[in-house]
Amino acid sequence: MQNMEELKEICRGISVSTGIVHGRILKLGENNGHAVTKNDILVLESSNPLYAIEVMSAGGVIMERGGRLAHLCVIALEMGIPCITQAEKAGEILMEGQAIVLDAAEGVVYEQR
Amino acid sequence: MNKDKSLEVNNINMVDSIVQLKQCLAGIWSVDDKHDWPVKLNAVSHLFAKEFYEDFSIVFYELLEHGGSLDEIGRLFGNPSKIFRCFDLLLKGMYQKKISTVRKQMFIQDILQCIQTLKSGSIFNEDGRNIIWNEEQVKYLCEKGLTKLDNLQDSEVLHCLIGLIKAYIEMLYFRCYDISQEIHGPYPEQNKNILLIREFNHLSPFTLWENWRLIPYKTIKIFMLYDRKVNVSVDSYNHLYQNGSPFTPHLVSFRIEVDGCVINDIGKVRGIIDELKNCIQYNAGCFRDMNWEQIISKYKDIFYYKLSPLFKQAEFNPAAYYNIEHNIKNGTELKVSNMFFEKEKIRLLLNLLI
Repeated sequence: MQNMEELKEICRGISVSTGIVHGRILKLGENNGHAVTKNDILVLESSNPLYAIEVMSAGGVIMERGGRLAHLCVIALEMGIPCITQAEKAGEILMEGQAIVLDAAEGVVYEQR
Repeated sequence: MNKDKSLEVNNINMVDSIVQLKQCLAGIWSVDDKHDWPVKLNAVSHLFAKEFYEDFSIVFYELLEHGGSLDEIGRLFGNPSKIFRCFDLLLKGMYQKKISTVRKQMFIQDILQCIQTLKSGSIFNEDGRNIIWNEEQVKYLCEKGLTKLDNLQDSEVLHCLIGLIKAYIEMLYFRCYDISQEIHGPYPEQNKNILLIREFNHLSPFTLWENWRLIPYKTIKIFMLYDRKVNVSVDSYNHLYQNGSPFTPHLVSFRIEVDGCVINDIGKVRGIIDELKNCIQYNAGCFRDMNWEQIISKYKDIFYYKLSPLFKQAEFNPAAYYNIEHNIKNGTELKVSNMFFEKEKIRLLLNLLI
């Protein structure tokens, strides 16, 4: 893992559950049927329990809207999956397949070089 | 003279509990954004809040008038957060009905008494603990009833089970998942670990969801003993806040009860996980076929499902309920803010409501 200070911050939200994870961005809405793995960092517009199983398989979760108590946040917290929410425009800023580092304790998404 | 004094004492208690309730709700509402799945509840609850309050208050006082006690009504609900989480809708309903402040406060006071009968600790969880069990119950379980965890993988499986049950009950009950869930604790254990209990009831509500796939169990109770690095708190709406390390690496021992039978075999837990996944995937398909009116109508039915034990006990037919379909057909979703309001602003709103 690279030194966090060397990484470029690209997006920010509030912490739901702690942990640092690196992986590739996966936007579920565009990838119905995609098998989610621990290498995937999911970007979701809002909490929707229909995506619960995918969240549980992911390495990390970034939500654009919703509070810390939103349903998928609660699931991520129960399972110890790094998760942030209220990451405004994350869906626009983050590109499908982009390599990132998610520091969920600090609520920051970095671009991985 | 004595009578006056007694009234004074009651009034002081009532004022205190109303103030505490406002503080408690201000804290919860400042972080709870009334999530937007399946619809933003704040935007549609005006379609059934008044009717819900009417039917709730009528059956409540009918039970009391016919010799029931607040204690018995509390037990009919079953778990405290199921009553506490009615406040959102009740306050809105009382506001719509223009109920006087005195009547509102008396009703609220009675409801708070019902909740108190179900708890060993404070109604408002000021210390971040939802204390339902007494010390003896906790001691007995910790000494006799827990299985030591073998490895981290088992902990992951157990927490996966919790995550899936939570997903499953949110699909069944939307934001009223309190019909099923009660998280209580954290209870201190003598070795300085903490016990957290997650109870899930009403897991197979076939009268509510006739065509959905439901797991063949009514209750699953999960008792987990964590080391002290896990620092959690639970508010009166049964929201769980994590202030320390993640759960999974810090689980010490556990107990799973399914319909009263203890399950120690992780293989069996994996079997339940598969059943839950199967139900969630199937039900997700059913949900996608529902239109807006059907969703709101179901929301109304779910809220009334909470009250069904009271209706049954009082042999009461909820009259206002039948007006709601008309409201839904002729009503619309309100535009409400997604913003999180500061506690001070929420306090002002609560002063208007209560």
